Amino acid sequence: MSKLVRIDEVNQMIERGEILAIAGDEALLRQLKPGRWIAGSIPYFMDEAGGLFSKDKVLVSSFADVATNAKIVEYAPEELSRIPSDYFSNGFSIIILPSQSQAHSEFSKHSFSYPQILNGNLVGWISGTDLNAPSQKPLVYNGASGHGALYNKAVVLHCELPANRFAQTEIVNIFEADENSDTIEFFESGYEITDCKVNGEKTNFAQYLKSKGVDTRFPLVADYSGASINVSFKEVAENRVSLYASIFPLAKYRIARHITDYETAFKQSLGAVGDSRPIFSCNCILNYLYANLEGKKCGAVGPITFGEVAFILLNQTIVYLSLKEGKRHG
Amino acid sequence: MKNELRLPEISDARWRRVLLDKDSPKFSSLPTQLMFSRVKMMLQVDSSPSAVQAASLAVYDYFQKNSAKVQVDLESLISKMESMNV
Repeated sequence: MSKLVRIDEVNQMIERGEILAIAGDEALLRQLKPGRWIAGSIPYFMDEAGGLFSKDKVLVSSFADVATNAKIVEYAPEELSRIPSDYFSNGFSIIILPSQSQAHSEFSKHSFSYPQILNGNLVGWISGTDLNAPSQKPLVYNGASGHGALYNKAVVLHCELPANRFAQTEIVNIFEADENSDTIEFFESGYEITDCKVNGEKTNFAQYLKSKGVDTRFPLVADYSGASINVSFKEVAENRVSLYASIFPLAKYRIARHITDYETAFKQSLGAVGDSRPIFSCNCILNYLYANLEGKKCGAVGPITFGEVAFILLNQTIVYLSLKEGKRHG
Repeated sequence: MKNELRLPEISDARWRRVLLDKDSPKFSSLPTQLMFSRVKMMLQVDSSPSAVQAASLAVYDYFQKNSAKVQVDLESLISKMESMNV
């Protein structure tokens, strides 16, 4: 269960030995007591009452009533491919990575190919900062280690579930590829893009976007066997485009179909999240900004993040984890 | 080979067809969708018989490890393969 609480309340939960994933402003995270928790910096949240910015409270997801066992592991960038080897055979894993770190970049570019990554439930988010405080640095914490703030490591809370339950990783994406738009392919994975192929013809990506007048609030979308996977635009410069997640050279992208009323489309898509009573959820800062979610209820309590993880790095997507009754293995 | 999966043997020619088909089976689970796309992307680079066999094994291994969780997707894959006459 996730909720927004004061720092003294979360410290009481820590002292009770609860297994926690925490999101909050850096100044509050520094006041947390050691315990079985991981945390990442972010002051934007979706609460029961609606979206909000807060430096007074933290958002805590407690797995005390869910997990039968847990372990917290830190991974340096070169160790990220080992995450699946630490999965419990029946469970879920919550990952937090600091934005703009080497760990973030490595995960974005390569997690899709990590062996066994899909044989578990890996969800989580990219930590960030107050958008009006660009000098702050995104960070993560491992509450069990006492190492203090980590700026270039992933922290993962691996949780085990009882045999009669299994977790399911799900996403909500309001975008779909516009099948009438051009097919865009890239030459290598990465965030900083110069050239691409549009319908098979090599061209400069920035110039292509400008010539087409593309509204970059709407992401690139690739079809992954029925799942629409977004990559969002950060900046379109003279001859270079910056993205919020890595593109993949073998995927075929299109610009998302235009949504006239982003806010309404977003709200209409949220029924599935509420119905499943998720044990963890996170949503993208770009949805928060573009759909004007501040002060508005959207039904998925969780941090508003600089990127979402559902096995791979996603953008402009709600990620959530639900519990099902039954055995995971046949 | 675990027969309870009811997937065709790896040597079955329908594996090549389903893996190289333009349209994927209709999957509903995100990890299955990602897994199948990853395999298809690998085959874009190399669709030799040995690559198809490796891809078939990867799909088989995935369903073996996650069979209960992705039962609907397994049925969808089996249904598509059964519709592909050799």
